[in-house]
Amino acid sequence: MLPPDALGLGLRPPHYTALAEPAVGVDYLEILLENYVGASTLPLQRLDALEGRYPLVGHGVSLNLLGADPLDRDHLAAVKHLVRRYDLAFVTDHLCWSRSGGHHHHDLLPSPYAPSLVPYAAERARIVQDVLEVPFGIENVSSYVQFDADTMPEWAFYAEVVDRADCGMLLDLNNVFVSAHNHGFDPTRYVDALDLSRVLQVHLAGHTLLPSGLRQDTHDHPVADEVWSLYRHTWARGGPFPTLLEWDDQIPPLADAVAELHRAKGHRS
Amino acid sequence: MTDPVPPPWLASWQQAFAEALTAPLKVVEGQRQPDADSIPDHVSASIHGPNERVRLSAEQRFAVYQSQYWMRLLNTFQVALPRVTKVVGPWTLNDLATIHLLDHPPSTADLDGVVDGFPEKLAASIARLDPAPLRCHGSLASTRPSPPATATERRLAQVDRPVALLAQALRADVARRRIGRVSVPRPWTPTAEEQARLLSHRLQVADGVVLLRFDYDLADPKEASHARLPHPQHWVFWRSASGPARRQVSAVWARVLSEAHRRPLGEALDVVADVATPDQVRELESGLSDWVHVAVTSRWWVGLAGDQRVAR
Repeated sequence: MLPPDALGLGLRPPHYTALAEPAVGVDYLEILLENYVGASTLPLQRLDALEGRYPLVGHGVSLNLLGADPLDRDHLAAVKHLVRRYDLAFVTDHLCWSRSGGHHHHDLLPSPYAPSLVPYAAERARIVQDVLEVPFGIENVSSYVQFDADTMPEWAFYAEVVDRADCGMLLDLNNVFVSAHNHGFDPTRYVDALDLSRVLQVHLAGHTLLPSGLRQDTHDHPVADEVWSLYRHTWARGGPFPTLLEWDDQIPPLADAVAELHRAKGHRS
Repeated sequence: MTDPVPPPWLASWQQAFAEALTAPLKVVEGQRQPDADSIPDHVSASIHGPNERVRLSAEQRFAVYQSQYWMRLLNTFQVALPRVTKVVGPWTLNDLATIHLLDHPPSTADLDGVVDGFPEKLAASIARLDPAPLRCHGSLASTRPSPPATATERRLAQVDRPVALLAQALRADVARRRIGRVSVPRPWTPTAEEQARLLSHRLQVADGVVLLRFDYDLADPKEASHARLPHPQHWVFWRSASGPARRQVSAVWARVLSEAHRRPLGEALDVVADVATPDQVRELESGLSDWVHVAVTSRWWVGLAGDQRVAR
């Protein structure tokens, strides 16, 4: 178990060396599961070098919870191997689809939010949790489209899937804010509709505001002020919870990323 | 735990979305960008368009995903093959990768795995354009693809770069890729008895050790240029304890290392010495112990192979 107010960082290759130094100010690391299930042996070697230094949690992008394709049992077995090998405290993946017709799209694709999809998604999440034998959390995605076929708000869909699956939440507040902006809803309304006792972890990240007005979930900037405001609101309503910063592009030196992560402390009350 | 049955609409809905998602980007002045016209009406019609904050049509919103799909995959090819990308340029690499991806859509969760099969296809295409690609310094653009030429061959034949430059860049990138997939070799400290047999036995070469000859400045992918070197360079690429590594070696030692892959070291030294210049023979004699030390401590050699004692 992680301390309830733990501060974590998404593990990225530029930080491998610096994270081996003592006292870097990070309570735990989140590994991207797909980086450790491929043919390359380098990521595992680098992860082995950090073993025992930090508690680890696993985060994936390929479980395809909302996909029509069957669950990829080989991938699930590979994830379970990582869970056991590295004693992952919990595993998370997204409320989206990423594969169809046997092909991986390597993206977090949107789906209509329809009641008929809820029991299906929940059952798949339950299977994942049962197979992995550690707590499993579902993350809300950022999105750029809404469909005519949406018959329920995203937050209601998310809450219902998690409730039916009886699993955890990885609540990504940057994603909430990005989607709220792109689709014109109030992000606090989203957060307030959730049972925050289910939150395993909160994600924070930066995004990009494009000239068209679209906000894109790029993970290449510091956390936006509006997202810090949403974090403050969420913490006041449902904290404490472990908080993790993701930074995937234009990655700064570790000290800068840690400083950004520690800004979270100033938004807790 | 059997999979639940999906709602009846889900598979066909996702298939339509995926077909539009994976439609190739259009090329405008060399750059790839989403083609809003390629998105089927039945997909775009179901997507909400502009609102008071975002001035994007349904097609433009969908194009964010189409662009992300292709850029993520094409970037993976560029990262996996940095020297090839530098030789042909990123736009040409994107063209070649797109041809490959349309035939071989990604099928596993390992993003880097999308590149699998592409280097082999590229190597085969280069070899079809020129049967001796590693030694041909003429331009790819002067080759004539033999019918029925593949799309890859036709695209390569538009690249005004030496055949050998691309072939050697590809070999180096493939070597680096392979090295990333082997385990770290175990260290070997030869016993006194093994040292006594060093010359008379074949050596066990670590998995992933590759000898490369460059006629162009290709060793460092960041510095790789199209400049032809005044003299060929010989490099060893291997998996060190800290990750992929490379080291330049002299021509004569490259020959010894190459021969020592298939015959006992003493025999390899004799074979090389037979055709070496007097200076090279002196280099062999004076440098032997140093080079054995390098090969062992770098883990190029990780033991004596089998029990193949050879009279010397």
